[in-house]
Amino acid sequence: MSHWRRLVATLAHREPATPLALFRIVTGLVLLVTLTDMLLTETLAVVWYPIAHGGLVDTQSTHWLITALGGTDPSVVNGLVATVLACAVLMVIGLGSRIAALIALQCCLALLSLHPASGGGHDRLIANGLWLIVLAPADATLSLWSRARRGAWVSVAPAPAWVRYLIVYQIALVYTCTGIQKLGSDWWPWGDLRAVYYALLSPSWQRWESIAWVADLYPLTQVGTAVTLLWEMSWGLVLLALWYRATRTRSGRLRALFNRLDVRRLYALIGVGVHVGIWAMMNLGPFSWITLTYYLCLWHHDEYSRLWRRVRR
Amino acid sequence: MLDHLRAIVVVLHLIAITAVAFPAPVGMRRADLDNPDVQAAIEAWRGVAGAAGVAVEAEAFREQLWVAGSKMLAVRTSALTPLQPYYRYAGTSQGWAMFGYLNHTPARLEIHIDSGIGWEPLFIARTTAHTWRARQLDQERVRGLVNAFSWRSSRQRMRAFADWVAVQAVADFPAAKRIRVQMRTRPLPAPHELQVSRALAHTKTYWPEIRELR
Repeated sequence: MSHWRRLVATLAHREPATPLALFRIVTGLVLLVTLTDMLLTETLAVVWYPIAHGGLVDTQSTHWLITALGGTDPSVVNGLVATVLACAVLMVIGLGSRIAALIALQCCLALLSLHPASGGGHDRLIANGLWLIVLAPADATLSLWSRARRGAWVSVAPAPAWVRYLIVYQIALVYTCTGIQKLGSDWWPWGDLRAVYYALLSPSWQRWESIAWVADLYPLTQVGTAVTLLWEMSWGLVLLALWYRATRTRSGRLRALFNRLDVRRLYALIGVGVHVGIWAMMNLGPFSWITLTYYLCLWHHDEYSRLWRRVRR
Repeated sequence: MLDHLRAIVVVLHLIAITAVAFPAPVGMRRADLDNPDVQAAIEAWRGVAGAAGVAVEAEAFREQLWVAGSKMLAVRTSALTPLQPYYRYAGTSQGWAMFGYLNHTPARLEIHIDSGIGWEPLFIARTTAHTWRARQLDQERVRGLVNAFSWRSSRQRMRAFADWVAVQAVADFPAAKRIRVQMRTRPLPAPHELQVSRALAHTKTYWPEIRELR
């Protein structure tokens, strides 16, 4: 079989949509929490209102939606935020998720265009995630849609699996490219592996007032620096691990080793440690949570099913 | 037929997101070559090249990097031009360099007010003693904005930010005379120094923006 035909066959594979549904639900929750936090802290007006209305936006956005709605104006901003919140709720409950994700995506892109300097990598991850939900049959299960259509909240009806593959590729791409771009000498042995130590002391992101104790954990931060760099740069191995898992009946020592060690689980465990650590020590908004949301697609429906049975026992 | 079409779309998507995520010195400025942190990073890599048997003079190495980076960006721009609508409308843009370079002399935001008895601290970032409007000023998106000032970037935005602070101060302190918004440097100490001092020193200030409130 040619490579192309093999690819076509792989992308035509179908499986229960549980991981996609979980991805949909948690992305919706992250969106809800992110915007609610901006509302509660009254920063929504600061970063997205024009100067004349008490905000910091000093230029007209050229985003097509802002233009179509009549320009940068508090009522436009409020309307966009309300729309995103409504779409996020629809995504969480699983009703018209594709349309909701598409509308939320366009509104988010419009809002983020108002003040790009106040955004971060998490905004990109949220936007990437929303687009992938647009492509995914994500409300096929664990949704109001499933309840209304099939009479059950849960459905194991096979749905296209290729969006799950794209989600996993997306997060592997993020990590690999992030790792490769860590060229500052603080990330390397000749810079004494000080990157994590310095990052934790950065006043822009530090979460706690007292931070000097980080110096006592310096050796640990060095280990953290080395692990982070190696782990990020080598995320391509997770793709390989998933491939080996999907083709576990084939021969090969490396395939057997990967499946015995469960490389995917190892990378996910390190990732949870890294992101929970970042969240505990630094204020980077929803960065940790939206990144971990992508991990949900590292597992197949059958694995969630087994986990659920074990939890209920 | 549908299966083939799907495969084509998926391959195009993968090409698009990989191409735009591919590491490149986006935002590279000639002036950055004079930044001590950037120079230190380049010197370290020159050392690595030297150890591998490729000896190049420091200035020549920097110049080569600049030329290579510029060419890379030119190729990248051309290659990504036809894909821009996909990034713009589908939100598929990428760009990941979390803490690629660390700022060794970051700075924190400080706001002082003068009510007729001299400057008094109103908001000192990351302290619990001076927390005026901390809910807003500590929020992650405002931190992101101020982080650019910490890299001594976006001077114009700092002025606009000071204008905004002044408007809030007028509302909260109608009797006050002046407000000052500035950045104060926090040179990051080596671990053994911090283990002894047990405190982070804040030294020079820069970009002071003073606004009359009446």
